[in-house]
Amino acid sequence: MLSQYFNLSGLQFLIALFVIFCCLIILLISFIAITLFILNKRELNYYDWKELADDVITIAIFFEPEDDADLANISVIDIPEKVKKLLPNKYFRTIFTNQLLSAKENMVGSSGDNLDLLYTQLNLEAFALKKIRSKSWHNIAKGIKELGLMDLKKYREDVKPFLNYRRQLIRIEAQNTMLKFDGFQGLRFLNTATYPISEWHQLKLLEELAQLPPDDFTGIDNWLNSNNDSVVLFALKLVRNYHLFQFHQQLVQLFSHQNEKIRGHAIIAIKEIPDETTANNLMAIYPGETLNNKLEILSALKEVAMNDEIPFIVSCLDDHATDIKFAAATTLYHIKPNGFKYVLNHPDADNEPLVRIIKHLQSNIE
Amino acid sequence: MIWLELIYDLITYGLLCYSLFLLAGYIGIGLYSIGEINKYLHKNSFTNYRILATSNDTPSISILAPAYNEGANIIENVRSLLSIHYNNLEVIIINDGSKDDSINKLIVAYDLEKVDYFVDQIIETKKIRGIYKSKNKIYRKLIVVDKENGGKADALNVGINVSRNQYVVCIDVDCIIEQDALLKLIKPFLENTKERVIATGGVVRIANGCEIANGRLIKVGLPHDFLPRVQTLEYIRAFLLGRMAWSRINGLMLISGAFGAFDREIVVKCGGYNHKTVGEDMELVVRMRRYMEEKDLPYKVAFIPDPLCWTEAPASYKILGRQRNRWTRGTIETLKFHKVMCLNTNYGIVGVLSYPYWFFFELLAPLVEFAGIIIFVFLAFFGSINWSYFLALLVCVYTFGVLYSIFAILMEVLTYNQYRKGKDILNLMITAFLEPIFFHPFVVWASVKGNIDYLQKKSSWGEMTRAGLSQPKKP
Repeated sequence: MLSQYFNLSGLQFLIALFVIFCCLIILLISFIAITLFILNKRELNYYDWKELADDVITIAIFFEPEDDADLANISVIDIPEKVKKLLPNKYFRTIFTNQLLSAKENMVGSSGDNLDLLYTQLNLEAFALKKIRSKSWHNIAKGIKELGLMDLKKYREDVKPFLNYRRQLIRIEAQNTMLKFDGFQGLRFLNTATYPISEWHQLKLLEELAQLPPDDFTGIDNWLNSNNDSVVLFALKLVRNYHLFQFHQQLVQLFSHQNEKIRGHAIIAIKEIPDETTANNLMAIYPGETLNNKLEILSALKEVAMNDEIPFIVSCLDDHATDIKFAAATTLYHIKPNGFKYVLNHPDADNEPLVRIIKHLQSNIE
Repeated sequence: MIWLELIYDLITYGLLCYSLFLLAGYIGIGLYSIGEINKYLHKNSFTNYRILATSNDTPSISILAPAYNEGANIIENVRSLLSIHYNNLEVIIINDGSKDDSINKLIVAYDLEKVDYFVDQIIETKKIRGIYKSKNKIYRKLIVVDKENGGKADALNVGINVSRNQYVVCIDVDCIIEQDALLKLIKPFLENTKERVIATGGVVRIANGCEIANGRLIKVGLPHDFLPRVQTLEYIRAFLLGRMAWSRINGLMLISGAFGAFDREIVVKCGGYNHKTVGEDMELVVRMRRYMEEKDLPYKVAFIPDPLCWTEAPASYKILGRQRNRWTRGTIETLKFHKVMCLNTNYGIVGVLSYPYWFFFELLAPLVEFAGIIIFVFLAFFGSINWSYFLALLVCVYTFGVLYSIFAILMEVLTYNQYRKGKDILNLMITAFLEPIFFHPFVVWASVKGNIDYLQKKSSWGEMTRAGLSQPKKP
């Protein structure tokens, strides 16, 4: 009886399931059809609207304001009526704003200022602010990015609350925007940054800084002592890229940092700002270092070692790790004119793996 | 008789529960992937890959491309690899003892000369016959290794030994790689701050039907033949839905051998690729995960939904059967090597979720399905089938399969929309209706054959004859 009961209800259940699946299939197919229709329609408009946006942007780039024009209060750039009519359309506005932002990314000087003017004249900043006040994380990030790219410094206070925001993307855009607003001073957020700064974000910041004149480096000494390890790593990259010799001593202190990665980056950075003590400092920390950092030390010695350091480097040829042997031999090869002779005269010079390392170096492959 | 009824009920309800779990798994994966794809697409819209392409602060990468008898297209394929956008890059081609003229063609085309390149044999491999570098500085990124034949895993291990860079990207030399593929693949390694990213995979798509010239993808197109087309659908489903969902919970066990990036240090510590399995790509990822779990190191296996790599799909049932047979054997071998992880909480999400999923639903599903067919025939012969129930169940399973595929097509349209023509999407939808009838039974059979071959200890790779992608395909 029970089995029969289950059979009957099972069948009904399966039929119901079948009907539900069929309905969902029809629903999804309809959704695909509608989506494709919208996408195709958008694609048709896309090229026309992109061209229209490009035309207006070109007008703005070549715009020359009259001397007595009050740029802040009047509409000075001639905007076609079609653009004004289309601007309330969200899709057109997105295309227009994207084109404008992309042009701004590649423009400096008066052309860039004109694009800022166009942006303000069309009141696009209102939409950027609306994005910032929305609840969607990507819209907030987009709004912040827009304000930064269009150099709208007056909204600095609207961006500040996001500098240490819990969501990474928003935080990154806010920090980049402050950099755009204030130049090197915009890096002040590093003083209070509690979240780690990813390597990707560090690359973005370095790229942003590369556009600025290399002056006004204040705060690096604090960042080198930060409790946030990623801030220390970023500061080390600044020291390395900008050859900031004044931080040499602090780098030496970082050789005893508990984070292996920071010690490694300090070794990499110090070879860009060496002094007469660097080689000795490097040799002093060598015995207690990890394999990766030992390799970094040998690589740094390639740049800073002289004849006095040769005996130490030769001793590294006896290390059991082949990587160390290879790095030591390479370093000796670069200490001209005598370094390589020590490799050739090494007791193991005819044995594996040194014999192959020597051949490699002699064929000057690197 | 009561016992017989009990066994009958046990099988029936056991299979029903299994099927329900399987369906729930698919629904869960489908829905769970939406959030991850959405998040990725939004995040990606903020990424300026030019920074990665031009920066000197990016990590160093070695592309490892093993080649066996690829003479017909090797020159174009290498040229395509050399044109990939990335600053800090070396391209290592490993000629795995090809019987054709691959190495001579490379020597002539790229002006190569034999050099005394030092290689530390960290991982044991077959003998290297010679290493070549170009005399022409334009090709300074290129290293060609000529070695004795030892299979794909062995060739990749040679590449790992030769490489001195931070990350290795393993690819099939006959795949078409998008020019910005490396930039996208390497970004997850730089983004993560909480855990170490040990591997990243990207979406592999089917290149049959696409227009390809000089090793580059010119135009995306849907394959005209049924078999490649159905595999296109299968790949969309697997990559866009399956792997994205697994990536979201950091439970990925497989990064396609066709294109994946790995942290070299961890690969070396794990001993490189295992040449004792035909599923070396999956085995490496599982071993790397096992290593990280056993060392209690926080890690992540990342996945990105961008279509980065295009590969030629088997166009005949014979070749397809060999491929699926090999995949099955590779899965069995990998799961067997790492059986200690199964339902073991010490291995985190992999132990409690990924491994059991692969065992019960990827490995056992075809066997259960095959057993179901045999039981069905047996019961039908004895007239014990409740036909109305059977038909209702059959159409239910069929419509669910179609529904899942249609959902995958919708996700494709909403995200990358690679097949822009309405006609192509219609064709894909028709394929979704045909797949369960004309393709799925074959895949099940190939998988069963794989199990049989595994039990018979067959370990062949299975020759994969390809038509080639270098010529533009007619629409």
